[in-house]
Amino acid sequence: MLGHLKAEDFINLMEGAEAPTAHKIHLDSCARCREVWESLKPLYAGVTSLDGDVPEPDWVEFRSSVRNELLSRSVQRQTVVRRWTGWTVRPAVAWALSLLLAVGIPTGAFVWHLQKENRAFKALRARQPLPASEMIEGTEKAVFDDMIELSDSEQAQFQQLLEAAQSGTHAYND
Amino acid sequence: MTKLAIALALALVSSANALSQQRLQTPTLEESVVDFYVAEFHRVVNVDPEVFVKAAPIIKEFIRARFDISARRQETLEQLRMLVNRGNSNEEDMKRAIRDLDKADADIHANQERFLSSIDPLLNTRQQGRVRIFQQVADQAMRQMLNKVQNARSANK
Repeated sequence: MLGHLKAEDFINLMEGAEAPTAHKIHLDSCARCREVWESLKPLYAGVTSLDGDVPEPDWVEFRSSVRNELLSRSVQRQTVVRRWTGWTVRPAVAWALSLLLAVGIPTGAFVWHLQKENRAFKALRARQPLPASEMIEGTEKAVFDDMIELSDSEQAQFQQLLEAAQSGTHAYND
Repeated sequence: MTKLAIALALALVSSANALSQQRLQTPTLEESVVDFYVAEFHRVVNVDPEVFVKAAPIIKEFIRARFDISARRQETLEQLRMLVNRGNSNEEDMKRAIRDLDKADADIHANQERFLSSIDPLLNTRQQGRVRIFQQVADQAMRQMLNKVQNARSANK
């Protein structure tokens, strides 16, 4: 004798597949299987009714969306790569940088050399004695230096002024 | 009494110049500057006769050394000027002249320091300040006198 129907047998029955005659006879004679079958019928009807409500995906939109997403990720990867190496790998930038280094370094060295020579010249000039016309007058050093360079007549004149100052006439304040 | 002491001190200071004055009849430039400096010191610093008697020889020594250094400095400066203007000067000669000039400049400062370190112990703080002022005043006064002489020279040319 045939046993109770299995789950797959019920599914086959619900989907209208060609069921064996033995299954149909059993379903008519077995109250338990018939009860299961009756309870499954509305469920099956509900499930099959959903088929019409589920809309068909827009496969064109889906492909476009996937393509956009893939492109977006690709662009993001390129941005990250450029952030680290972008400037150095671009030929135009590489040439410009090379030109800048090739011209800039010798020019900088030349200017530095000129400034160094200029500093050395200034230092040399500072060490050289200034011409008499450039000497700073009025300093204590210059007073005595100028004094000993006076001629005899000028010395006599200067001494007279000194004596006059001592005598209280203060001629030097005139 | 004070006037008598000052007169005595001045006489002592100038006593060293007495022989040369007798011989030449007129004081030398250095002696005139010493006399002027001593008189200015007395006028500006205003010290006791006892201190003045001690300070005067220090001032005299300061001026004597100052003249010596200036003479040496001027000689070195002239030598250096000649070496610099001459195209084929010996470098060693020039270095020596530079060294001598720098030494003379250093000696000027050393002489000034020696003068102050010798005279300061004789004076109180206020008088020490006046000594510094006295030097400035005396140098400025001499500068004015020098300018007067030099201007007369320029006018005669």
